[in-house]
Amino acid sequence: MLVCEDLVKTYRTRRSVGPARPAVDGVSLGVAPGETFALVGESGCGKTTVARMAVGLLRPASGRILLEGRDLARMRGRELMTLRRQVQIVFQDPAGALDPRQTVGGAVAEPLLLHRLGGPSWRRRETERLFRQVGLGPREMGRFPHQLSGGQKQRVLIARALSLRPRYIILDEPVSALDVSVRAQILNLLAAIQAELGLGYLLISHDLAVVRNVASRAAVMHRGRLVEEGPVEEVWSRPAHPYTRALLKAIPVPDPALRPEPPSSPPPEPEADPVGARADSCLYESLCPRSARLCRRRRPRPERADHWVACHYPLILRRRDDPGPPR
Amino acid sequence: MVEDVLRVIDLRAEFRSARGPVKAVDGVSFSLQPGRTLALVGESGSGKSATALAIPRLLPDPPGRVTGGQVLLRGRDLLELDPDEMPRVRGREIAMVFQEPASALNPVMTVGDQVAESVRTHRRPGGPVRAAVIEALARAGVPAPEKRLRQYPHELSGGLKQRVLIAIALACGPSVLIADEPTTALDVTVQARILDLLAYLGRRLGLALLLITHDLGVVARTAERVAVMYAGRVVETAPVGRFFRSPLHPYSRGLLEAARMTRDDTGSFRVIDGAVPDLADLPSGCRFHPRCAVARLRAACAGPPPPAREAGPGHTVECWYPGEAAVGRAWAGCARAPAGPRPAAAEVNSRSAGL
Ligand SMILES: Nc1ncnc2c1ncn2[C@@H]1O[C@H](COP(=O)(O)OP(=O)(O)O)[C@@H](O)[C@H]1O
Ligand code: SF4
Ligand code: SF4
Ligand SMILES: [Mg+2]
Repeated sequence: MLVCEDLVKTYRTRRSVGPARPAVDGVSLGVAPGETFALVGESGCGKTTVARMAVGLLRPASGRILLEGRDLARMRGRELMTLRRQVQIVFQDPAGALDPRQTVGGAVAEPLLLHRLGGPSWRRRETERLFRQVGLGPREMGRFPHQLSGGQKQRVLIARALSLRPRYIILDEPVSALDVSVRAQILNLLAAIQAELGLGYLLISHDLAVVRNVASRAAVMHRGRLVEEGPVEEVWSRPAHPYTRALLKAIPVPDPALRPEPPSSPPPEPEADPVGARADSCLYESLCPRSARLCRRRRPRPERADHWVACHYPLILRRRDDPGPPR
Repeated sequence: MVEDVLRVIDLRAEFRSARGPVKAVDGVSFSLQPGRTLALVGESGSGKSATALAIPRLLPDPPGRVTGGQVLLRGRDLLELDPDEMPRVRGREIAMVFQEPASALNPVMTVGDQVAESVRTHRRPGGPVRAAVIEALARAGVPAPEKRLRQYPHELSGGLKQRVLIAIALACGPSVLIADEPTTALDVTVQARILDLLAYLGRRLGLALLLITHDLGVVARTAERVAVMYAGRVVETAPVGRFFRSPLHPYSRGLLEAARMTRDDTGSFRVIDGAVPDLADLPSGCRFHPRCAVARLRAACAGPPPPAREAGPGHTVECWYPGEAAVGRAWAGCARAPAGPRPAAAEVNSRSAGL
């Protein structure tokens, strides 16, 4: 398992006075081999920060990253290098993630070189193999990024992530820069690779349709915190957090029969962060239709369950023997 | 029958490039009616934005150039107008909203001043500007508009910026609004509200709305009619209900399957093979044929390009074999096949054998 435990990260900003609200605040999640775990949420909610901590590109202020039960922070030198190889990342923007002056073959071979694996001819064969694995030919190896389509660039990045033979891959919005017809090609490729190699994926996405179709579990992130987690089918059919429901309702479905009634007055833009909101309130409070006094005074904590929610007044009923959060 | 405010007829526009002319708009026709929304949908590079810019003659020239067709605004051809008259048309009749709200606003000018600029240039003289500015912002659903006048764009969320742009666009009372991917840069919850706002304003103000998007979910949520664009041409136009029930063009079907994330019997998502063609080097015949599964069984597809044909009320499609499923039903569509070029049986057999 790749486990993130209670991760916290605060960025210092120039403009803020006083202690800044953490970008990531107590996020815990686990990815099992062969499984796709999705982290969903809107832009700026902290998904990419979690991703960067999970691959070790960013040090958490507190919390731990455990790989097969071993704490990454306690490891040094060779051991750390070896362990790090096992978690790789594919970034969102395929164009920006590749060096325009480097051939894409070079880009895929680079991690092998950096980790001093094999000699030149082995690396070349290995690169060829990786290209084949992602559905590209050896002809593409000598090309530069601008000579490839968006989908081909994303394949190159997947090949690069695979080069160190990881056990987990973090996919940060892997298809959101792609057209829908190409999106399906890349998702099929990722599924085939997962089936073949038994990889665990941490899929980070704002696209709830994609998540529903490819992930087995999902956590919903809102302003640095997880608000709900569970099996995808459960969460999608019975969302418990008001924010999850709002997200699901907002997805435009490609079926005009499901079109909501057109509004009879201009839908106003809510103010997300009213002044005076308390740090220990529920962060969805200002937008939540169910908000009550308790929500402003106490931060809702998750109850531990297969499908859990951090909300004082969740949308689905608790089991009768469940006392709920302390009031 | 509602009268057309804007009719685009056989519009053509190209960009000069090192590889020769890029035919971004290659014979596009559609019309807009007051209070109705037409969605122009297609993948990136299909020519949607070029179409949007060509209508109000905003294509950057060079490298862009309108090379033919008509843009009739209440019967008057905008492409024939003196260039000096265009600012007036753009001010009073056609307004635009673009994808990136951040870059469309002036970062060093207050919100109030930017809306006021639009109010002043396009308003009949007289009347207090400040009140008109506040009214324009309020109409776009900007909360506490008086407080926004002195704010700068960077102080606003993405959704609010887009609302300010909508306020600016509508301050001049246009009859046509062209919105190019107005919600693509926004989060889903914000997107839903902006789409609702556009739908509301469109009906309330009787706007003829051209909504450009790559997202069929957005189309289903907002539009009355849809036009699918592929490689510079509109390949299918239909009322949304008909379109989502029974799209006829193989590309439309592929797009819809991709949007719905349909799987085939092996459990893989259905894909459209290949990629969008290079507009400087289009394939011969039907421009979709190198990617079209039907074309593998039909030699006609590589012959002369299919013309637009009527396929039902308000439904036109540019395809020799509309509605045909690709594999296993090679002959089923024959009754509907065109009288024009038709594949010889031997050819079809050899092709299907190769599948
Ligand atoms: N300023 C420009 N200069 C040269 N080519 C351009 C320019 N803008 C767009 N194009 C080309 O025109 C074609 C259509 O682009 P565009 O209208 O932006 O498509 P869409 O909006 O459907 O994504 C593309 O091949 C694109 O590269
Ligand atoms: S804790 Fe209260 S404000 Fe927060 S989501 Fe639940 S009901 Fe809404
Ligand atoms: S004309 Fe032929 S190639 Fe073109 S879309 Fe129709 S079936 Fe496909
Ligand atoms: Mg565009």
